[in-house]
Amino acid sequence: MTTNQAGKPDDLNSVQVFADKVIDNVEKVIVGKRQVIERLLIALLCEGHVLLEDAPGTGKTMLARALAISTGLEFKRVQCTPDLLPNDITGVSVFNQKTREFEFRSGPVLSNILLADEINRATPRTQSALLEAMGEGQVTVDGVTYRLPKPFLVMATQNPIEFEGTFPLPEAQLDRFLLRLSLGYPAPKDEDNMLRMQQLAHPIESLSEAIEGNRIVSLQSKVREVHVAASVRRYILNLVNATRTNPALGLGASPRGSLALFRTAQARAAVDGRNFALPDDVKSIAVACLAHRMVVNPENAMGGETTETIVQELLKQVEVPISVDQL
Amino acid sequence: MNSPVWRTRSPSKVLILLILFSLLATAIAGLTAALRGPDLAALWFSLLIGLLLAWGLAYIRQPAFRAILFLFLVGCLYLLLLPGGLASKLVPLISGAIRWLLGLIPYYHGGKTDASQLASLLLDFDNTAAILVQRSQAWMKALAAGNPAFDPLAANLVWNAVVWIVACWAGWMLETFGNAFLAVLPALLLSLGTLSSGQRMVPGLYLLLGLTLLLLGVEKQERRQRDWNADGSAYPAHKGRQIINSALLISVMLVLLSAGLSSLSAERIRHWIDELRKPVPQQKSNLAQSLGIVPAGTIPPDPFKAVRSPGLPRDHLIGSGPELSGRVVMTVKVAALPDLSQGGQPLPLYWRGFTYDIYTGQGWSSSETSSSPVAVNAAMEADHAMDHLLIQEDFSPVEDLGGTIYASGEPVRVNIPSEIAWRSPGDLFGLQSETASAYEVFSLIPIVDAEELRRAGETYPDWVVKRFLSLPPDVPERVKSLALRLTASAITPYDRAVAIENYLRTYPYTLDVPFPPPQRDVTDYFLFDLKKGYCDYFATAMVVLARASGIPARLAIGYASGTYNLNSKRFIVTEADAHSWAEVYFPEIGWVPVEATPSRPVLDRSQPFLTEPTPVGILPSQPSGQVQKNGIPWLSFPEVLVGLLALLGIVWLGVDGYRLRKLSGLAAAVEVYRRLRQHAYRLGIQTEPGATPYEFSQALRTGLGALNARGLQVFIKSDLLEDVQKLIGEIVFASFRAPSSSVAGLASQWQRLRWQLWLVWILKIVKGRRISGYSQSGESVG
Repeated sequence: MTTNQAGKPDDLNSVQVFADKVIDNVEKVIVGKRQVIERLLIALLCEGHVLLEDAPGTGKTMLARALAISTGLEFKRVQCTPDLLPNDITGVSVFNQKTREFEFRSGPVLSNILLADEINRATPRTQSALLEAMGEGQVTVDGVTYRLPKPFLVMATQNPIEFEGTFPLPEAQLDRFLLRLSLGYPAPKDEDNMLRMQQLAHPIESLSEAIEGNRIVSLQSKVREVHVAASVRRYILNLVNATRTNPALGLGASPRGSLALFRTAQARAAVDGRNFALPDDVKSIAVACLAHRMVVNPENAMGGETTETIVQELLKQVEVPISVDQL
Repeated sequence: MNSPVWRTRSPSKVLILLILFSLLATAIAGLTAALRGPDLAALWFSLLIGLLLAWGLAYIRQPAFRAILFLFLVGCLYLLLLPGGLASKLVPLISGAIRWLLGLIPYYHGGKTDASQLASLLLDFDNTAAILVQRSQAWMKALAAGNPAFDPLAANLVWNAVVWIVACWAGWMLETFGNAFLAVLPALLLSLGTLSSGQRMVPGLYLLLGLTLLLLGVEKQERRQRDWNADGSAYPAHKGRQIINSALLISVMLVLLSAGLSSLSAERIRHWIDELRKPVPQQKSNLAQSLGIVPAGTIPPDPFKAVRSPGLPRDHLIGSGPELSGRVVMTVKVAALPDLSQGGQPLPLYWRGFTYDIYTGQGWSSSETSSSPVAVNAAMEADHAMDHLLIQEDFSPVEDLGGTIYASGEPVRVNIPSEIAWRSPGDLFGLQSETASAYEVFSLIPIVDAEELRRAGETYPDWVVKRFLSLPPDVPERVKSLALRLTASAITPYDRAVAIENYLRTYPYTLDVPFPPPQRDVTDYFLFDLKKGYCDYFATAMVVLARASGIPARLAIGYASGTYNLNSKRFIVTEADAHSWAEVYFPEIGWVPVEATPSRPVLDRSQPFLTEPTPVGILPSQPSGQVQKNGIPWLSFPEVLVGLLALLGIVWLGVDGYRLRKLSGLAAAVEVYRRLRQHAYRLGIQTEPGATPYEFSQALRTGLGALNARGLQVFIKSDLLEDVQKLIGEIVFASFRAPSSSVAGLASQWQRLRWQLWLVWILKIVKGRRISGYSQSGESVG
């Protein structure tokens, strides 16, 4: 009996196949950002949402579009501005003169992948409408509840540079995002590559569907079957607990943070083709998963500490509990 | 590996072991028939212990290299303790130590041993061990130098070791590979080998054949039954018994058939082997000699019966009264002797007439001799190389001595015409002359002291090995074991001879003894029943015991020196001085008399012979353990301690491996991971506290690579590390319950890895300075 066969039953194997196909496809457009694409997929597989924090022009929109095309999912985009109303997102009931009835005109939220560009420019009211849709998986317009399609992934972007005229997301809202990702600038070689590729036409024009989107729901349920050993669970709890007791942090990670770490570790293991999660899974995704859920004390922030550096430091300190008596 | 860690015990396994044991025991019984030295019971015991131990190790699934190491060490210990006879020294040592420890308790009033007693016991044990090892070493050196010497103690050890190896092989092979034929192959080869050198094996061969067939059958059946069990197939329980019964029947039939059919007979096989072994090189027979294999038919019938009647040379002395004693036989004047008047005692010179080499069990005879006339004063060949003193002896016979020419030492010149009889040049039988007149003999006496004799070594010429080490096959076992026991604590042949001499001198001397019973071995009769006797008995026993302990010896007859008359400066030799004594051969020195008869004075060899005579009468008897103080104790106490520690280490490793296998998967993985981290810490490979097992093993690999780059030539297979890491990950993180195969896999991988890690550590310490700059190469790669 070899572990390869035992460790990868067909269903989980298909998660890895799926991930590889999609990542390869998206990489045709977004060059050299394999890790971010993978994490985006992880969020998709965990039924979570992503906060992209990046400078303008780093390819956030292109990433979302490429993902949508590759997975064959419906893609909508909404540009958040201070005058954006909740109905502009959820949709609106319009009176039909012919039928003499109100009929629902769905907003961009009723799609599979929603890109909410510069979410911090929307008013808190609009923001909360969107975040409620993200959390509940449904929208209510004029007393009628509409279920959002599955899968549903919101990619909200934030510009970390300009804060003038913005409404920064409160911590409680940030907590609803599974991961906070950042594309960052590409490496010079990748950027050169990109320039060459876009000389004649944008590669997204020729991008084709790599996998049927309707399979994602079943893959999502497969990911939940990934085994998380007691020592890995304990490792997650130790990490989260360490954020709560860290003196540099004013606010530690919430239990939702623990759950997010748990789920993302599962998904990462599945994407890696394993049916069990490793502490390494937790470790690799912890910064993306936890950093945006915490608040650094002002005096520490003055010293240049960020939640990212603190989580990274914690990852170096918190031991992986490997012992017989686990919990 | 798919096989489960524990197999189910089936009754036929015991049966197979029993059959295997009887098969090997038969083979060994055949072996002892062709050997002299090893005791059959002792060999069987070695066989039993070795077989069970090896089988047990295979049964608990020890890795081969460790089992070999363990069996080797235990084998060495066992060989030293039991066949080597160290156990007899160890028991008083242990009991002494316990009593000494008890004595440390303040209110204990039982038997105590004080520290000095304990120390002497320890010294005694240490000495004995050292001597044992030294003798084995000397034997092996001689063998390696192409000059094998027969030392029964060493041969005993070697044969026990051979049996041990055969037994271990059989036990291991049977259980590990389940292959009965492979298991008994060495034993069969061994018996074929013995078959080719001795011919007393035929009935044993049939038994061997039958047992082999039976074993093959039963083993096959057992294996099939195991397979059925594994498959879960249903089979009638009585079928197995039936098959075994038929295997038994078939083997008996086949054996009977082979006995009956000439074309398949054992004699034919033996004949065939004889054909095969015809061109045996000389070296091989030397080797056989040194291992104590008795070549068949080396004892030819005695063609000189008319000259030398069989039986003890001086049968006529039995029951003779004292009236014989006073008759003067001859007088001897010795020139070149230092002045003897000071001591007033005669030197222990012996006037030798004849020498004998063949012990028949009932008496003595000589191998074929060739005789040739010797002209007056012609020089005769003598076997000597070291300094000898040339003495001139002037014999004046009073009685008719039958023309025998006597001489002390090696005669080189006689002043009357004579006839010399020798077995080979230098191996003198005796000198005869027609005339019975007075004669003058020049002879050579070796000038040696005990130290020189000890240094003489054991490189004997061929003719000595051929004639003066052989004993008839029917010398009883107890005589041989007595010889071994007496000489076990002596290193050199000289010390062995002295030990035997001292032992024999404790028997009372008397002429009043009955004739030995016919067909009874004289030595055995004398040593164990009669327990008294006269010179013939003592000398015979001396020679037999000496030969049994690997010292070439011969029987010499003639006269003791007699009384020294200070006025005439002549020795007066009477009938009472008629004597027989043993002579021991020392390489490059020649024949040296040994006096085992208690009525004769002890020969003093503490100083060079003849240079400064000491009054013999007041000499203290030689302590037997004298050599041990002078000998270099090769095996000192710290070394024994280190050996014991190593043995303990091996045992611990075995227990540890077994424990790892028996642990639950998680516990085993946790334990191995903990140890890996310890090793990394020891090697100075640093990881963050938060490193995951995967990161840790990456760091370990990088760290080892860095050590390697810094001049430590370490070759740890990185895939081994990877495997261990993977197994740990699998067991800890993957499933709820690790399969036993992966636990066993982890244990065995870890055992392989562990040695390499220890080695790296030791290397790092040894080459520590060169890599002291190293610190951070083990940084995590997460």
